[in-house]
Amino acid sequence: MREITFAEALGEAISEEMEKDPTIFTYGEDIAKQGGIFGAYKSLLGKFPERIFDTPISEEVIYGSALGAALVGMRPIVEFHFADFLFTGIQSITLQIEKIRYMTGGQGKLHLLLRGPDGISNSAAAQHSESIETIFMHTPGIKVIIPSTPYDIKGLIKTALKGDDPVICFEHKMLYKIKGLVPEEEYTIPLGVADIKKEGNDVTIVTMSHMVHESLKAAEELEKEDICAEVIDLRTLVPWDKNKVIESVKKTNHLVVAHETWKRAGWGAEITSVVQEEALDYLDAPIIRVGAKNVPMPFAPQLQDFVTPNYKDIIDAVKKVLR
Amino acid sequence: MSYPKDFLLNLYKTMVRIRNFEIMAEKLFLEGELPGFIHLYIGEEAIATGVIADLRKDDFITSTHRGHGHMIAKGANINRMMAELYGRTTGYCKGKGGSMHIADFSIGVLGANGVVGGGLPIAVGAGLGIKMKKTDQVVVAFFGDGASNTGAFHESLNFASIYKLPVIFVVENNKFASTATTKETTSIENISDRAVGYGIPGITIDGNDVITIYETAKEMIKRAREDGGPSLIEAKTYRIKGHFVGDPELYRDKKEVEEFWLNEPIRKFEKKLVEEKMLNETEKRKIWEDAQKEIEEAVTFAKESPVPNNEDALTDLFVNDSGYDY
Amino acid sequence: MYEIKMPKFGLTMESGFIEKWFKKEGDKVKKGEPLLEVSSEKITNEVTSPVSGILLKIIGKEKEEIKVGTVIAIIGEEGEKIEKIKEKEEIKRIIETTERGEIPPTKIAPPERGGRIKASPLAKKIAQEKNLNLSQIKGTGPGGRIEKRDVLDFLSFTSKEENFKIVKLSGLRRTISERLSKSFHTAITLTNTTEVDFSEFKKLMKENKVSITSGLVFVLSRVLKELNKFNAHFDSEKKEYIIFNNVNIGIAVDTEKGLIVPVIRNADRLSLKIINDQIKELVDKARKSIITEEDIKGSTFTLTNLGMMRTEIFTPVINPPEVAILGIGRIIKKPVVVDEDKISIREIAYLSLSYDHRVIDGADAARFLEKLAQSIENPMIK
Repeated sequence: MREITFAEALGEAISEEMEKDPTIFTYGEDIAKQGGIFGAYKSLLGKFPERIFDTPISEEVIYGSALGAALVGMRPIVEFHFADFLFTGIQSITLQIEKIRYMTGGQGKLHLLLRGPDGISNSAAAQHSESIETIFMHTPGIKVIIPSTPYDIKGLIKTALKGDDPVICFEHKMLYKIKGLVPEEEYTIPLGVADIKKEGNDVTIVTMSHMVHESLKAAEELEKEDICAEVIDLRTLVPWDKNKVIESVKKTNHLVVAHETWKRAGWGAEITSVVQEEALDYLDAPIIRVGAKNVPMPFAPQLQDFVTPNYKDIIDAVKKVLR
Repeated sequence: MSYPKDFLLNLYKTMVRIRNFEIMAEKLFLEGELPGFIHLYIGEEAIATGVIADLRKDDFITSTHRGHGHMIAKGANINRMMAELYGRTTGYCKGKGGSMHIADFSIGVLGANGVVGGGLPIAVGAGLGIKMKKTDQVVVAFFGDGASNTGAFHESLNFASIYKLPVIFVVENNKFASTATTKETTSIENISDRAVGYGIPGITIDGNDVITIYETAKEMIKRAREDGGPSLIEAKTYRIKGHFVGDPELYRDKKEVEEFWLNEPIRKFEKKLVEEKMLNETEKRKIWEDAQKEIEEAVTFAKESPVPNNEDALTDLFVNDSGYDY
Repeated sequence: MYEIKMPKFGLTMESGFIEKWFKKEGDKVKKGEPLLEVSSEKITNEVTSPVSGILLKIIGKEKEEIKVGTVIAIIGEEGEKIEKIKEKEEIKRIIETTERGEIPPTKIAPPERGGRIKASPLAKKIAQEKNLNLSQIKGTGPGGRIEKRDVLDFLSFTSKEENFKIVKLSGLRRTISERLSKSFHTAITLTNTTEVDFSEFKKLMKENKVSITSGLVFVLSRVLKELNKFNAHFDSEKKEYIIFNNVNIGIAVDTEKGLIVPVIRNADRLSLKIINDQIKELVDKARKSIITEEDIKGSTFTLTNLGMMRTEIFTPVINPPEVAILGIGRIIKKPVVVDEDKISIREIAYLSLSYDHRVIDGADAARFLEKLAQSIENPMIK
């Protein structure tokens, strides 16, 4: 099997589906000529000139127009530039996209995809570092996918583009360049199916996105001390694979949830809560969450490092639950 | 008015039907029959009627919280509208939307909207979709003067202009944004002037004159259909009723309302029709009685319709799965 | 005839307060004319008449709070009879509810709770499945929390079968124990003693080449099995009295390093010979200081033998959380009165039974000694 980057896998998924489905088109800021601010669309440059275009910086209408276009039968893909900026047009998502099908009694199919970069990168500071996926888990009406590997993003994006529900996809900035095995044959990954990235018996680490890689690194370190961690990549947050998590907890009796978003009321709190509601009797220690410190992201590299969770924090958390 | 009698009487009938629906909605609400809240279109009937008269069934509109008139003019089923006001399963939204979220995608109504300005980006998106599909459909975005002060309005006009989208923006300037007057909240006298900033035509017309509205809309719709791009029509009218039913209306003088009653669009059009001998007293009475009967039947239909089951609340979120159980 | 109903002004209005009627019964009213003033929350509205006619009846009175949709007045034509109408229609008036503080606060006694045992949910689940009492288990997790490993450790040295039953103290016993506990904060140790003829017993042990202690463990284990009240632990905090099925007898052994109590497990199911072998082995290990923790854990009753020294009667101290301990002094020859008032030289010793009076009464102790003495005086080793 060949190795390609995360960005290339994303580009392939979009390109292959656009070839097949003339209703797919994609727009956003800095994508048509530049290929996206982090190169997400580099592999699409020059292809489909009429179906990939740049827009003004008008977030509310960019997201809201995706809804309108879907309602008249198109399958728009919108790039949101930076996840942070979702807040500038959020009503179009949380008040319109998420609700219109429900409040019209199930009329219409909102086959639209919002996608773009999120996450902490080198000193991008407070307004360009956020991971806000929890908000879309909290407000019902949109599906949330957060891939961590080239293989996963291609399969998940394809599923999103073939489905009939609105989907938002968060792609961590630090992942676009990572390489991974991706088959050339057609495949898709269903939403709501977690992937066990590493098997283990002593402790379960539930994670997503860039933190999957930090968790795997932590697991490797822990092996040296004879601690065998199971790393579960949820891959999709709405829906999330509750069964696989609970199954694993029943085996390991210990759970750590690791995400890059703020620890306070991050999605780890939801996972933690559901596990204690449904599998309390299998827990041998409190569940520990790993997340960013509850402040906006500071600029200075030392401060960023201090606030950002990493594999060491995961190791500490694992040792704490196994103490 | 060199139009066939049938055409003119149809405009008149549509306005009368909207009026009667609203009178009934008000009465039912005041009697405590209807849950939620209701915003009435009384006095503004000419705008929806005039604009939509030139739309095809496959054209689209987006509406507002004051949306009953747009629905009726676009050809909605009155029984299902009334059932929705009652929160019944036979309603347009199966009782999940209510007055502010009535929609019928099958006749091109992409939804009333509870958010001021919320429909504008959706209309733009529908226009974008049409542009991508390369059909000759058009979209009309109805909104109020209040919405013209939202960011969504300005983003939408610019966005529609740069891609020459087939969207006709119709601002119903009824002199009030909730309890604030347009004068207090809006930087200019004529909202249509704002079109200049986006390089599209803008025109201000009498929003109580159904024929002027029809003719203006027809021109702008033709332009949009022929790939001429978007336009902004400002129809000046007056919100005869409060912002919502039960509004104590502390912000205006009741005399002002009385004055505007004299200029309300149905009476105005009726006078013209009578003058030109297009409408006699018998025809008029029949049109009103028919409308009243239709609405009364709708109320009976709604009242006899079943209320939803609790489990119904857990459906219709997603197409591919229920979406509530995870 | 037209019914005027309490109108609904706005989303949240459920009832309206009639401030004032502008018209009285019998007045003429015109359509659009103000009829009454209604206030709700902070809004006051005028209600105008929807029809022209005569105000036939005012049903909702001034200063009354009335539910939305309720008929508050009737307008009709002059002389129209209103009997036809439900004149006496009940108005759903909302009555001001009882003033605050009127209801005396209910006294709720705080629930009685024992000391909280910290254990992980998984540990609790396993303990429940195995019918274990967590108070028996020492937690090694953070803050002394009992975790899965602690429960498994505990299980590994007790039999895998059902080991005991938990008897909740009856009301009376509970009251007694609470009262006593309050006064003394500790076990109430009493000792009963009795003189026992060891002549036959000693002979039999000699024949079988086993020690007196082994013989005592043998008979004691059988008696404990029968009078299992003594083969128990008592958790004073949880008020739980745990009676074990297995009889594990601890034997107090004097070593250079002090007192050590190795345990003979399931003694009631062992033959005299095996008991003797085990005791020898354990005492040997104890004296050589190679005894393991496993060997001294889990006793349900303790025997202390001072027979090799000059002590006849003493008060042994209960080995908590056990409920009793048996002491035996040295066996000495004494003249005693036997059958038909004859004097005979017999091998005599005293049994001293200390017991926790919070759960065991003196009569229980007497019965126990009686039974044990009989077993010694008429020894059977099969």
